[in-house]
Amino acid sequence: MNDHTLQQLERLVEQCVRPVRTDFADKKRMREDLLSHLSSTFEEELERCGDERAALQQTLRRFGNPADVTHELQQTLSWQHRFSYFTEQIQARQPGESYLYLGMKHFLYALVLSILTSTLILIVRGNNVRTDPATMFWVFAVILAGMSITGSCSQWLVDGMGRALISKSKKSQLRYGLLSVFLYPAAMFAIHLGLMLGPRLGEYQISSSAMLAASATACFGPLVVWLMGPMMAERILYQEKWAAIDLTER
Amino acid sequence: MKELNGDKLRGHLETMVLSVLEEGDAHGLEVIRRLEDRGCGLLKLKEGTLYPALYRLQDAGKVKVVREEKPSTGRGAPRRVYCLTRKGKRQLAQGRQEWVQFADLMGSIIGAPA
Repeated sequence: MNDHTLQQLERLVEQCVRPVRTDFADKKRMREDLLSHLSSTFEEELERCGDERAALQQTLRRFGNPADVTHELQQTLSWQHRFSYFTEQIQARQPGESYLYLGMKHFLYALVLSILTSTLILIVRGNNVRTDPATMFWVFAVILAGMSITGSCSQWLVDGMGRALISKSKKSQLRYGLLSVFLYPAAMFAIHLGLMLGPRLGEYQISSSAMLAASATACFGPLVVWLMGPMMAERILYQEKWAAIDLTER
Repeated sequence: MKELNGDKLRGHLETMVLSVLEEGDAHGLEVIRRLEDRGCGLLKLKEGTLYPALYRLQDAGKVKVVREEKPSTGRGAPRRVYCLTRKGKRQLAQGRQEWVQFADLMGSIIGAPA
């Protein structure tokens, strides 16, 4: 099979899979299955007719209309797949998306989540809630926003480390490794600071044990970044490879 | 005889897939081959529609992936080999029973007993 044929088959696979609203792992499985099937069909047809162009045409004819396949693939999805797709759209960086945009997305998501959580607590507990609603909302917002922004920073570091490992750039590996040392302590200090600046300013103070605990998290950053780096980079490179296929091309 | 295409097979594809997997484990292309062999050349299935059916069966626990095979060309993604589960065997038996009832009913309605 030459490169042109493989590109045509990949394009057909992407036509079927890209519009399907499911998570990364599911789409990967679909792409692998369809591409493997099409490659085998092509080889079978090539053996039969001996001409690559005719074999490709026959393979495409046998496969059927990609829009129908997309529709049927979409129909197979359970609510778990749909939920997983939705959370992935919010949490994970999509191809072409900047980390700033990802951070903003995470921040907005945290705000919505804190409003929902506070409202739910107020509804369930009613008058039994001792803390006033504004403080409760502030605590949730600060913690969730802190966690979500830390999440987007982690993704940036993990991705950078992964790419550095693939390109074997020692300098970049060192840079991302060093930056990751500050990630969790900075996040914890920021959360404490956010709580101090809340509506009941002055009542909340950072204790020395909290500062010690925040400093101790310094070792987790490099560990996360080194362990997840290669996995994340491969995932992003895979997504970028498939996203680069132009479906409008004739 | 006229060829049977996707529209006429709608609703029966899953039972057909289960029945060819009863013969033994198979990857997608092998499932298609077996279906076409059993259809004596009259069955014309759009191959892309097989995978949604396999996924539905897999999600329902009626088939499972037993192993992955490398493609003969050595290029591209591995092929997943599917097998029938106990639940799939029960579903197949039920599917056969339902088909006999359906064929009997249709036969008596249109005046062409099976």
